[in-house]
Amino acid sequence: MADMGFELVEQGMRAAQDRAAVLAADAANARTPGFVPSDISPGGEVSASGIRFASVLRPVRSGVGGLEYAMAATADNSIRFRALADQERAMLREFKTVAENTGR
Amino acid sequence: MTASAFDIAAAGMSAHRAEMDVIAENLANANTERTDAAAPYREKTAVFESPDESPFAFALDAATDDLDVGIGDDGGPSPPAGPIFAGVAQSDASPQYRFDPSNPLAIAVGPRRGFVALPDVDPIAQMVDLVGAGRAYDADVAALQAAKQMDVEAVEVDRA
Repeated sequence: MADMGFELVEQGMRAAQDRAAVLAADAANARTPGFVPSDISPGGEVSASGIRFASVLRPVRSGVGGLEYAMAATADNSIRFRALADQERAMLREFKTVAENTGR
Repeated sequence: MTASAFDIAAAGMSAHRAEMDVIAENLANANTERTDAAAPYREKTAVFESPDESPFAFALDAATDDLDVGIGDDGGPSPPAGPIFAGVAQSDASPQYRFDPSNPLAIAVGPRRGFVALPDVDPIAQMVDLVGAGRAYDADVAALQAAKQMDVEAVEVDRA
């Protein structure tokens, strides 16, 4: 059960890293003519092995400029990644506490 | 293997710096009446291109907007990488003419006698482009810093 929790958090962190690359491409190509900015929508998917992250690459259809969208989404993505990293750290701390108490 | 955020941001920074170099050249030569080609300076424009064409699935997704496409190294379409500075295009616009018969470069014969050919560079448009390129460069730096911060946090998880 705990393995699944770790795996989910790690999948989320990996998805955030993929999204960072997509958003970096959006910012870098903001002045490239004909470039269609894209973003990764995080989502969940239930499979035989349990719940997993199912990232979807989509073109951005917002009214906001490509550069502004990339900047805002990058900030949002950083916060999500930090939250997931904090979650993983907390889970590791819990593991450590359990391991220490079990050893007594 | 998809390009990392570091590679993409670095490519964008490189491209936008090259663009700023071209704009600086235009501004520096806004009053250059004679070049090696015996003509006034012609405005230059930085040309960018995306390094890879959008894969078919992604292009289809862009067209239909309702098709879910997986991302990753397992056959799914990859996000585009950073721009490539493809080169410099030279303007083919006609030069501006100013009546200045005392100028040694003034046209000596013909209907434009006494006029001097001037570059077609619009300094205001160049300054606007410079601001845009600077903002794009800043965005690349922000993306690079965000990617770096994510890696630092990932390393800190390992230390926990």
